[in-house]
Amino acid sequence: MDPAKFKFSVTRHASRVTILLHYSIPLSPCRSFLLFRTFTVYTSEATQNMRPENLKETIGCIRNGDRTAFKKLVEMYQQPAFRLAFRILGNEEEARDAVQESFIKIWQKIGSYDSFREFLPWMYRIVANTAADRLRSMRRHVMVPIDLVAEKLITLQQRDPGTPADNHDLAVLITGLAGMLPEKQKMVFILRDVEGMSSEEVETITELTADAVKSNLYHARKSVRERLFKILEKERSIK
Amino acid sequence: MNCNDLPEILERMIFEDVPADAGFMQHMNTCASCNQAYADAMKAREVMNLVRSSEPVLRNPWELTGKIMAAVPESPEKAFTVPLLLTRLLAAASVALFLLFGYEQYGIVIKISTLEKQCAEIKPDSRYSDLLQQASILNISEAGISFSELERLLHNRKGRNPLSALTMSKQQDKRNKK
Repeated sequence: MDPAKFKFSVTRHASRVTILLHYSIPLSPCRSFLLFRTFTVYTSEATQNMRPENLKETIGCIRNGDRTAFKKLVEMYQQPAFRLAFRILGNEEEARDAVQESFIKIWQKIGSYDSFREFLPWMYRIVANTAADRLRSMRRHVMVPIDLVAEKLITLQQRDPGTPADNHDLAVLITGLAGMLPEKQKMVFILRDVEGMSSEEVETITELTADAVKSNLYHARKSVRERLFKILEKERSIK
Repeated sequence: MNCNDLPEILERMIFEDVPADAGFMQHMNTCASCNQAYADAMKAREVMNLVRSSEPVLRNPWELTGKIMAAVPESPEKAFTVPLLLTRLLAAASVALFLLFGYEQYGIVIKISTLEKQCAEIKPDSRYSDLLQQASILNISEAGISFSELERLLHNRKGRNPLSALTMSKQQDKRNKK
């Protein structure tokens, strides 16, 4: 293997940075085999500040009814919980309510949490299920007009790089892309392609089999790709 | 590399941010439609990257923390854990019960299947055909006879009708008791 042929690309997610290392092996003049490996670096405050040993200690205190420790946990993890709920629901107020409901469930169920497993997937499962329940009570398939999605896309692209995105614009864009997907497809798409989780993490959170995740992701990507191309076409006409 | 590989490559590009390999890039130089699709996919990838990297802002996080803290009950629910000794005792008891009743049930099943086989061997036109009609499992249990008793009756083909003999012997028993 020639080390000079190694290439890498970096994808920045909201809470993690994914580094993709790839190496292309030429098989014939017009065909090559691509080897790739993904590395994930967590960047969110929650995962940086709460080290595993501190988290274990905090959860131990919460189990004994320590409200101060629970408040610390809420302060640390409410942002990633909100991000996931917002992306599933596409609505700020609903996402806030879902986060509140999720943390109440976490407080109630902390006794059943297995401390040998990671906390974040367990928390994400509760948040995702709570958001999915809310999604069912909301209108199932939300169709946002393509003109509006294209407009918001332009606004988001033209903002200063340091300025945070407007929640409403983001909600329109996410709903425009994934709002029409059936529930399972939407969950798998948001977790895998927007949150950047691995297939195994998606299986744990959604409690779906590997095949079901693969199949739902395939159909979701197909629909989103078609929608993306329509939005881009509209964006070109506006510009 | 040809146009058929395009959907897979574009999907990896848009959703997994995997760049197109050298073979495809070479093919693109000669294929106008793939070239256009690749340009569209690059833009779609930018949109997906924008969605991924844009963190929704949680406004007034302290307010949400306060709401959560006000809504949680006084203490969390304690998980119900069964002590280890009790778990082992329950496991031992279930094994013992299985051995005791499972073996008995197995014996009954074997006996019933043997009887059914014996009943099936009796020809319909023989004088035991009545018995064949009546010696169902239900009749056996109602008559209150043991399996060995019925087996003996079924094997005793030279005697009288075994069911009538059985009924007579039961009636005799009742009279004696009175």
